[in-house]
Parts: sequence; structure tokens; C-alpha cells
Amino acid sequence: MTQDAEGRGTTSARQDLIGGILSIAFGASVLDHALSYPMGSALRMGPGFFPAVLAGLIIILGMALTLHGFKAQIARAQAPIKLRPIAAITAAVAAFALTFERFGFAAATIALIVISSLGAPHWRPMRAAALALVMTAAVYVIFIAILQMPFALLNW
Amino acid sequence: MDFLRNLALGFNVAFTAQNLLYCFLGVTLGNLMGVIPGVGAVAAVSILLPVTYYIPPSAGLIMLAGLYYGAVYGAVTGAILLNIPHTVSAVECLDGYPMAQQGRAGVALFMTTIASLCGSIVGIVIIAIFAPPVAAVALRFESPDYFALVILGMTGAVALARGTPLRSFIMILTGMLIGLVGMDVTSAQPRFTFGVTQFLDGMPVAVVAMGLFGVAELIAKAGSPPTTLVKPADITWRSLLPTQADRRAAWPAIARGVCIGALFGVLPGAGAVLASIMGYTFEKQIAKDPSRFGKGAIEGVVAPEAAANAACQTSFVPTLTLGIPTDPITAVMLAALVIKGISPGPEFIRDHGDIFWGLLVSFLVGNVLLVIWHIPFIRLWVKLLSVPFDILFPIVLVFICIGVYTIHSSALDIFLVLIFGCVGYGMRLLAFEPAPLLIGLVLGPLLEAYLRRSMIVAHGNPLIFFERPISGSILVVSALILIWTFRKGIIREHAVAQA
Repeated sequence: MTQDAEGRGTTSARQDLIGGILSIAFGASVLDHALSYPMGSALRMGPGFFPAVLAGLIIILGMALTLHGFKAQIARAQAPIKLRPIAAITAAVAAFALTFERFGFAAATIALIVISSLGAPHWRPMRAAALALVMTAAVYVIFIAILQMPFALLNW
Repeated sequence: MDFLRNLALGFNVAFTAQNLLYCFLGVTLGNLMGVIPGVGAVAAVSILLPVTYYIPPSAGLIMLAGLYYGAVYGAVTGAILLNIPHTVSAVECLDGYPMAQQGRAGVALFMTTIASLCGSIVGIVIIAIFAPPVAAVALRFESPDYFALVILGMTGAVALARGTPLRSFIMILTGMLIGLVGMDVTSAQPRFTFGVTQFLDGMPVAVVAMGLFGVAELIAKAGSPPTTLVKPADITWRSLLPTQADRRAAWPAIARGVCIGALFGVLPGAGAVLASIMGYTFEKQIAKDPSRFGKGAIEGVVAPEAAANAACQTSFVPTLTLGIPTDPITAVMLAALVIKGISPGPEFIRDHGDIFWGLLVSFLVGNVLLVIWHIPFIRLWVKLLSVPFDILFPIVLVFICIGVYTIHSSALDIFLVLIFGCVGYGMRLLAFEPAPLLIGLVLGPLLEAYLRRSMIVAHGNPLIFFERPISGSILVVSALILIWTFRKGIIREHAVAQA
């Protein structure tokens, strides 16, 4: 997205098309769900009424955005999708979530730091290892010693 | 004498050891998060939101608010010294960085600190004067009026958000749809919970905010090659002092910035970001020689900074008196209050006067602390700027994960924050702004509750919204704002297409 002086962006046709279609799909799946709840009447609205209205609105707006994408003349260079940081951060956070309760926060913090640091363009193993140790100590001091949260340091 | 008594109450609350400590923590961490590129104020506030579960509401609110204005203060440092645009300080780069290149970084930093202080103090005075009467009027509001106010808040968020109105609208609706997850309050029917028990309580605002603003930002920044680190010029004591010409140009600009900021802060959906942009645009428009802007004009640095800080303070007026957040940060703070069992609204000042006045006095304390952090200790923050991002982002990630975990002590929330992080990154690629989504998430459930309550009161007659003078006029204003926004959007696109 490029920005003009006021910080408002202009968007490309592709962004409009994809964004519009995704909005329609999102709205449609919500609508499908919402229709399974009771609608009620205007006086006593059921739990399905409000979701159905919102879903309908987002479908309409998604269509408008898609149409706009077809008409848009302005195509601009788009930032390339960065797979490396997505993969590294996803794996790191997932590893943290899976190890935190089973192995304790020390293992989880070390895993999180080491794996996420792979997301940087150049991996520096020594730096990651040092950071992992420092952060484990910091987490211990802040969350366990000071805030007294019930985390296990290590669980084997 | 009520006012003096309230003020005394505020001083009593704010000057307890605990509240002073949390105020100090809030502004210092906020400043830190503001200086460090890549962690916005929204992420900072959401990361520390779980901490507020363990402390009294006044201390929690004082800390979160401190984070907010602390981050606004801090953000400008990176903008001036390294040309790092932060959400709140994007426009300060335009003239601040050229000033630094001319060896006048010290002056820019000093004058922005003064501008911030002026903006904040005026903002605080405005809250003290206007919040109680606004709350008194709002006590007479009924469900239809609140429905209209929520609509106004959403319209404001669409009108003032970055990006096209159509996209902001889609984001608000998306946020409202996410807000539907949970038990329907009226009928006790679980909606969109997919059989997960934890979802019955709804989607925690902090998780969504940390995902969209924290994790998404880290993904976007982590992969970028290390920026060629310009070694920030050494800031000496002498270099802080502005010349007489600087001062003469800066004072009126600060005054104008404060006025613009105070006004934009109260508008729903605007917040500090828009205030700083408007402050800059206004200075440029009234300048005798607009060509100076972008080349180190001091007005272009101090006016937006004063505006941002004034707006940051005055945005607490609608947040605390009406329960309507003006931007994602106040939205997260409202969530913090609700978790504590305090419903922000017209009764807040009356029923929780200690928290309200204590918070107000803590603003004063916090701003003085920030000036101390910024003038004698400026070199400390300058050093921080040279820490590379590949060290910073794993650290922030650790705090996000632990912060999320502490909300429910549930690993599911960590996966949720990850999902919202990836969604947020995708939204960024498709040029969707996350700010309106968060506002929709907070306001959506309110809108539904007020709508259904109004319909029961009015026996299913939707005309009630227009028959009541308060709700009717608010809705007409909202409609006008909406029409104006879409027309402006269309005109702008034509201009872009022709250019």
C-alpha cells in the first residue's frame, strides 16, 4: 500500500479483488451459521437476527469492493509476501504453546527465542542462544519472582 | 468547592506508593515501547493488560494510560533520530529527521518534549472541566440514545480511519462479527463457539489486539533486512537549547497543535494518530512559506507532537464518560475496566470518583516523569535505538506469548494470538487497517444489546431512534458524516486516477 501525505492509502486492483472475495466468503460462512439460530421478531429479536444483518452487510460491501477491483485502473507494486518470518514466528509460537505447560516456561522460552530468531534474514546462533538465556532469566524475575505467577520453571 | 475536593481526592489516590509505582512503570515501559521500532502502543497496552488482573483497578488503569501517553512521547525519538515512522509519529519524521541531519536533533527533541507537555496539560484540564458535565448529561441517555452513540462512534471510525471508507467499513463489520462469538446475553444461546467452552466468554479483546497489532507487526518487520543503522548523532546538553528564532516559531505552533489535538481527541475513531496528521497539515497550510516544510521546519515537528498528546488525553472524555472508545488503545483499556467489573459510562465518575480523579492526577505525575526521562536521560533512549531488530522481536514475542497465556491460563489463547497474527499480516498485505476492526469488536456487542433493548422498549417500532430527540440528532449527524466520507473518498479516487 502506498500512502499519500495524509497517510491514506491507495490500493491495487488485486488487493481489492482478493479482499472483496474474502469478505464475501467470510460473510457467507457467518450467514450460514447465523441462519441456524432463531431469528425472533422485531420486538424480541432472537440470537440470529443481528449476526444475519451484519453478515448480509459484509457480503454487500465485499461485492462493492470486488466490483471496485474490476474497475480500478491503478495498480501499484505490492510488498512481497515474506514466507520466512511467517514460518519462523508461527513455528516458534506454536512450539511455545505446546511446550509451556508440559515442559515448563524455561524450555518454552528457549524454544520460542531460538526458533523465532530464524525469521531474521541472517541467523546468528550465538546471539540467539545468549538471548534465550537472558530472556529465561528475565521471565523468571519478572513473572515468577515479582508478579508471582504460578508458572513451572521446568517440568520433566 | 466540589472541584477542589475532587482534586484532593485525586491527589490522595495518585500519590499512594502503589499507584506512583504503576504510573512510573507505565510511562517508562510506554516510552520504551514507543522508542523501540516495531511495537506500537496498542501492542504495549495489550501485552500488559493481563498484569492488571493482579492489581487494583485504579493502579491498572493508571499503568495502562501511562503506557499510552508514554508511547506517544517515546515514538517521536525514533522519528527524529532515525526517520522511523511510528503510527503516532509518522508525520514528525517529515521535518524532525531533516532537523537531525542538520545537526539540530537536540533542539527537535527538546522542543517536542515541551510540546508534548503543553499538549498533555491542556488535555488534562479539558478532561477535568468537561468530563463531569458530559457524564451528567449522559445520565439521562436511554438505550436508543446509546445505540445512536455507538453508531456515531463507528461512523467516526470509518470516516477518520486511514484507508478507504469501504475497507474501514468492512473491518468494523469483521470486528463486530468476531465480537459475536460467545454466549448471547439475552437468550443464553451459544453463538459461533464451535463447541469450545472457552469461547462462551467471547473473544478476548487483548488476544485479538496482540495478534493484529503485535504478532502481525513482528512478522512484517522481522524479515526486512537490517536497516542501515545511522549512528544517532551524539546529543550534548548544549545542543538541546533552542535558538530564539526556534522559540518564536514554535510557541504559536504548539498552541495551534494543542487546539487541534484537543478537538480531534474527543472525536470517536480519531485518536492521537489523526490529530498529529491534522496538526501537521494545518501548519503547512497556514505557513507563509510552505516550501520550508519537509526540510526541517520546527513548526512541523512541534505542532503534530502537541496535537498527538492533547488528543491522547482528551480521548479519555468519551471513553470514560460514555463508554465509547475513540481508538484501539482506549478500546483495550475499556476491556480492562470491564474485566474488573467496572462498567465505564456516565455512572463511572459518580460511582468511581476515586479512580477517575486519581487517574487524572496520575496523568500530571506521568507527564512530569516523562519530561524527566526525556530531558536529562535522553541519551539513554538514543542508545536503545541502536539495538537491532533481530534481537528485539524474539523478546517482544516472549512477552506477547506469556501475556496471552496469563489471560485464561490456557494454551489455546496462544494459538489464537498466532491465528490473529497471521490474519493481521494478511490484512496488511491486502491494505486492510486493523484499527477499525478492534473498535468494531468492542462496540459490536454494545450495539446489539442496545438495539435489542430499544426494540423491547419501543414494542418493535424502529422509528423510536428518530422520535427521541437525542438519538435522532446523533443519528442524523452520523448519516451526514457517512455521506461526507464516501463522497470525499470518491473525489479522492478520481483525483488519484487522473494523476
